[in-house]
Amino acid sequence: MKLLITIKNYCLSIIFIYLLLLNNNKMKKIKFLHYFVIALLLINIIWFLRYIYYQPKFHKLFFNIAEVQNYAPYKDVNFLVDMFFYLLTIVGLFFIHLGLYDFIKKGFFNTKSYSRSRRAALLFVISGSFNFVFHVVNPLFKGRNFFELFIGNDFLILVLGIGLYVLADLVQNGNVLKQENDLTI
Amino acid sequence: MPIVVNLDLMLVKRDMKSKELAQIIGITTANLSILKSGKAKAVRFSTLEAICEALDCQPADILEYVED
Repeated sequence: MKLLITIKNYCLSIIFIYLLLLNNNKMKKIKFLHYFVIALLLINIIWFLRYIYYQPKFHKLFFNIAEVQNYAPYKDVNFLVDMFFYLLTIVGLFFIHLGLYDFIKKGFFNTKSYSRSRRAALLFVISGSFNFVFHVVNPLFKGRNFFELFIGNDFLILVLGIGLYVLADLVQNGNVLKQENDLTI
Repeated sequence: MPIVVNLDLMLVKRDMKSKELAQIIGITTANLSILKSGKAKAVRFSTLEAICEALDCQPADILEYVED
């Protein structure tokens, strides 16, 4: 039975890889990415509300009762800081969603996608940098061991932000080339 | 831009309409309008050749350099 489940998982993974990478239709890949971003956005919004909307009844959906009774996040300043940068990340994701929507509707090179990618990049860089300082640099100054700290998420957001900046510049460069091409008679 | 397109002048001299020229050289009237208004970023040699052939003129009759 375990072997069957493993085989099924491998097959699903291969189908997934085929759909995402081996498919030659470029717009289809962007559509896939768009769906993923929407899913990620929804998950993050629910997760954010779960943290912010502190109601025992609501929290019982996610935690067991004992945890709910001990849960008092608003007393912690770090919690509010975390939530603020979490919100920035969610808004950044929303801009990525809008940018991808424009890619699908108006084609690869359009000015709206450029401006939205830049906004998302800015939010991700701010969120990633501040989170990095709060979660890594501050604890290090307080004498924590570097290897105890989990820096993966913050770095990932930071790298994603810088990557989006590069992408936005590429799109802008493409916009200029397209405009010149369109105005060549 | 210091390059001026004198296509209008040549069209009047040859007594030809923009629409006719666009049809002869095989471009849209919108693109011809872009060329006439000086908004074009570049002109292909093939387009220039077709215009010269249609208007029976030289490239210098259509394009002129004027200092800013």
